[in-house]
Amino acid sequence: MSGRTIFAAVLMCLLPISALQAADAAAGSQRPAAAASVAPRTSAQVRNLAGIWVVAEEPTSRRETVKAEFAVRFPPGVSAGPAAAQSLAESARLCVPTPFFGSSGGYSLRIIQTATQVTLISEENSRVHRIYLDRDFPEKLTPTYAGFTVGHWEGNTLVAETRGLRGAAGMLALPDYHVIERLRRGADGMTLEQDITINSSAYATPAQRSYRYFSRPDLRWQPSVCEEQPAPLVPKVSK
Amino acid sequence: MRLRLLSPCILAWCLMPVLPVSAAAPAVNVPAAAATAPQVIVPDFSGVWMPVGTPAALRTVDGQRPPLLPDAAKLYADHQAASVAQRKSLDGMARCLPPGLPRIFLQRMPFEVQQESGAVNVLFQWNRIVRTIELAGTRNPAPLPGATYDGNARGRFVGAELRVDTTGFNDATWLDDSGLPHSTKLHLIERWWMDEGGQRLNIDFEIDDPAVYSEIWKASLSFRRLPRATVIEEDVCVERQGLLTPAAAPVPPKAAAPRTPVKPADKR
Repeated sequence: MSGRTIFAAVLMCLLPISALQAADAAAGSQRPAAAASVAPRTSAQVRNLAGIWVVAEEPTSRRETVKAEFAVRFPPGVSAGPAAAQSLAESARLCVPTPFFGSSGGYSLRIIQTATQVTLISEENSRVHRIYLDRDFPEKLTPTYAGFTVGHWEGNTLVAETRGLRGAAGMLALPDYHVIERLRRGADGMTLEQDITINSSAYATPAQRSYRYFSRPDLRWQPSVCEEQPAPLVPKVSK
Repeated sequence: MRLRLLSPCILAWCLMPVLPVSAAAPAVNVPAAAATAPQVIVPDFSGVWMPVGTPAALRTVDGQRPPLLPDAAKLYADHQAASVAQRKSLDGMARCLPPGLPRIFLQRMPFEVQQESGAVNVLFQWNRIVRTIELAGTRNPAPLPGATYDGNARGRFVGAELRVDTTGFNDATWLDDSGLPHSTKLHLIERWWMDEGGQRLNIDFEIDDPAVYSEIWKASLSFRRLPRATVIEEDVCVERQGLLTPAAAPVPPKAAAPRTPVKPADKR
């Protein structure tokens, strides 16, 4: 065994480790997209939704038909628009949480994943969406803005069901919201797809929205502080 | 022969860089994707925690008043003497602004710790505030653009402890409910450790703020672990503080007139 051979062996050992360290330093627990083309992603990898995500567009598809009798009232001077968009804007203005019917542009989304819980947190107005993987709905559910969500894996898709939503100011305040959400990592590992189906008596047919997010592990995640807004927090919803 | 002697050395040399990289991975609650990496045991603070005995005023570990500089002592006295009305303008927390650190740990509400390989996340019940402690060496996110209520927290594991360095605070918060001030020079060092078989979390704070205190001082807080199934309740500060008028209450569908037609979103 020559010295050159030994040197080559050592070099071979060091190179992949250096590459791994560089990837870790740059992307934390996220592996770069290039890794996906080298080896097929394991089920453990594609079932890992953790990371920092930025919504690609808002949303990629949307189908929503609100029954006329459930049309939302808008404050004077505010033009009518999609009900959910209006209600989310109103809730955000009042600094009350909004249900997780998709993310908003400009705000990134952090997903924390453990064995028993997947948590989605938006930078916007401290929106925290806990998806419990280890429990069922409680027998008695107190309505909250975020609702109560339980989830399970179907293949590589996290299927989450939300019940117990209360209406926010200016929202379609109905007790019968029932939301099904499907979250999966894209084939390249660097995108996240979210399909949301909202069932409610307010809709002629279940409302559907799809969102796509890009992985941005380099972002400094910093929640906004809604209460910093200079305007008073008194809502201007007409009676 | 030479190869036989050298092989263990080469193997050891190859593995050396791996160990510090994997040291950031928590032993428990690590995402499945990282499960194949070599495991190094680090403490797992995951769970729901409730403050034990939350004092309104922070004191040093030996029960003394913190060593305030003269100007800061006067400011502290003003905070303490403020009426309820004055307090609303002096104390941002009364207007639902973030309480800052370590004050948020003094609130009588639980918080949830979710630990990842790259970060320790603290999800407070208080107005749903989330604090992220980035673990050193795992990510290099861009620095925050300016000072914030919670600062810029960096953590690392040292044996059974989590040590957190936080700087980059604004000066809009108090250290506690009594009105202990701090400046933007605040450097907060935390030492997290558990005892009682992981049922008790202790955080030792080291407060270094040369613009407000004459010397570095220390305080300690403790928290008890709540059952695993505990659900963090949804706290909405603006409602709790009565900052919204009744008009903001949910509107029953029957009262939804005048009806405004809503364009189907797919026609946008």
